[in-house]
Amino acid sequence: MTTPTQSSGMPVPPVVMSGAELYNQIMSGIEMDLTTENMPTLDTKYEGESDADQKIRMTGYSEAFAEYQNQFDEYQKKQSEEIRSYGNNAMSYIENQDRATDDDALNSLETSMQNI
Amino acid sequence: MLFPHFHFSSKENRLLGFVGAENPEPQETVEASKPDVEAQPEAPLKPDLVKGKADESVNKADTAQNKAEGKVGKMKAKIAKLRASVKVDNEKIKSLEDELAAGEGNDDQEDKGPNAPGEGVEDSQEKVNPNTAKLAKSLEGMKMSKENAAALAEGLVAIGEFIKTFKEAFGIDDKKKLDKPGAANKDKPEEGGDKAKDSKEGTKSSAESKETPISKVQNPKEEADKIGDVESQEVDFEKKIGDAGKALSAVLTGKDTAPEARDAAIKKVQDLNVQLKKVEGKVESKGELLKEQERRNEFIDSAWDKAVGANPDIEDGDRIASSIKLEGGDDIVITLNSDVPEGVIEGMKAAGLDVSVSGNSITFNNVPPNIFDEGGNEALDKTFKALASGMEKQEEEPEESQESADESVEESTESTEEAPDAMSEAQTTKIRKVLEANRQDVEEGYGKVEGEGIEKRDSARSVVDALNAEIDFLEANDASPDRNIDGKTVSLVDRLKEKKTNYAEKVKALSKDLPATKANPDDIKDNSEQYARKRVEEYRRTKEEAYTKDPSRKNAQLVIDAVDAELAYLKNTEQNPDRSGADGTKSLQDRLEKKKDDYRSKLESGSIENRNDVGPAELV
Repeated sequence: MTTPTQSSGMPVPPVVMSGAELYNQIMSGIEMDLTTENMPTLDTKYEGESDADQKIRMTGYSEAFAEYQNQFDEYQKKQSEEIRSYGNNAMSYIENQDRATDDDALNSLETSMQNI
Repeated sequence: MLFPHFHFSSKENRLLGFVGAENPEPQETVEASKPDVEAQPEAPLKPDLVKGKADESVNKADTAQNKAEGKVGKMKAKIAKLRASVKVDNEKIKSLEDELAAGEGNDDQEDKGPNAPGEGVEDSQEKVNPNTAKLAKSLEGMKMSKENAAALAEGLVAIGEFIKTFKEAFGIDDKKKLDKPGAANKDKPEEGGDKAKDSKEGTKSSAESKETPISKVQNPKEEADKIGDVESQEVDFEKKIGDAGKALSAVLTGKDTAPEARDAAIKKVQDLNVQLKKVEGKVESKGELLKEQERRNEFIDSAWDKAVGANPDIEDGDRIASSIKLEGGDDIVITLNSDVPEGVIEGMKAAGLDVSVSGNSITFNNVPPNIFDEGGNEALDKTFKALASGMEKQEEEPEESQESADESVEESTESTEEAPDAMSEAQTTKIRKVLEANRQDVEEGYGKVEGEGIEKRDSARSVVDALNAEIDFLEANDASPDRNIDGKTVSLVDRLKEKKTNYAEKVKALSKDLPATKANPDDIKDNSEQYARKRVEEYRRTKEEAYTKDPSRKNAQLVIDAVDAELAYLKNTEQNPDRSGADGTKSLQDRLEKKKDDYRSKLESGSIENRNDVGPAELV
């Protein structure tokens, strides 16, 4: 998994959305009616709806929530992987930087001592 | 200096809801039965449930994202610590370079000065080190250049000082210095060896001694590698010093006056100097290691105090544990004086501790470095609370936890033949422990959230949520034990209610100017039984997960016990959500009954092949 990096090469920590943001991001790709923004407008939007239509709509919602759950699980897995990857990459980056600095410093020291 | 980093995934995964994915057994979830969803077409939602379903999804996402944010925060803290550590190292190196540069500067100044050769050397070296100056003066009579005399003098003194530092650091001359960090018993420091190897033997023997309950075993391999590494360098150094000494002796006594011999002697000293600086770094590393060991040993001392003091009713000599020791560098092993009480290990796992049990030993796996800091005591408190509680239970019901697995199975069969409408005392205790461990986890989570934003407010609400569930359960089952707080006996429920008031006030204070993202604390009360049900369900799922990983009879029995407890709680609270599924089950209780039958038939039909996996601890 690749981790975004800054211009210095240091990995950037993943952005963690709030619960509502995440819910809306996923749900807006499945069923716009069920986003937190649209939810309060449903009664007005479907006023006078027949029972049969409502049943069809509710079945659709039920499927939408099931699909949301799947996508949410996938997202959590991916996010967890990103966080782990970020940690590992950041650690490696610092370790490599430090190793390079150590090598330079040791070479410099050796050179200085040879010149004593 | 870099330090190892560790990963914790099991608890976090469980909290994020990933564990169930690894379990091939059908899993019931409270919010929706996912397996059912896959098994049959979606049933239409009731219109009045749509908003509730959406709110529940948002709340669940909130909780998961808060945990993810916490994980990122932990990563950032770890990275910042590493950066700080690297910065300190680099500053040390820079300081060394500066010192060296300053030394070179002095030499340059001498070259330009008008002084006679001998005087120049003496003046210069006196500023750095009197010993060097004395040596340089003794070289005045030799036919050496000022630079060569200074280099020789500096090199020889540096070597002498290095050897002194080296021996002090590793206790070559001082037995106690070497033995202290690895010594098994602080009361017997004189028993330590005078070499690193002796120290290791001393540790081992005292670990085996019954008279010294606290043994502090370091990672033997790592220790051997590090000490061996340094020891081999010491030998190497002594040889080089010997060679350089001979070469110098020949030059200084005039036996060898050839310029080449003199140059070669100087070169040997310079080489030693280079090596000296490199080994100095290892000396520092070793110093850090010793500090870490001392820190760990202090931690073990503290752990032991807590073990002994965990239950004031236990008299001297009747201790909970017979030894606490470090093994493999990262594991802490506590050996109890008796078998691990039933339910203790579950309580500890529920409290988020990565532990395993073998016979009468509890092993804390992969102890993170920071457990020796602020988190350590908290983890220990939880552990020994659980242990003390288990001991109390064991004293009350000695037969229960001492029975063999087979007998336990029989008992369980008998007990489950009775209708579990009323919860048994053991089941009540089990659920109480699950809820208590959950609340402690949530409280811990609140403490870790920084700032005063939405996250903090919601975290405080989660604590109220957990407290409500615990209080309601304790009150409904008349199961509130007394707690001794500062010498006063206080009912647990009263203490929890006081705590709840405090957290509710925090929620109120934090809610100013913040948008609402969760239900009000007062509303949560109505859902406390559902909340508790989720926790009990999670607990049962951890048992199932353990069985999936290790399908032993013991684990099958633990699943049955957990299902029994869950069923009892559901009946007790009159909860029975719909779980109609393709397998013919109609409700959660129905499904749990079926699950229990499945596990019982696994247990009794011999379908578990590895029957021999029931270890001695279970059979005795």
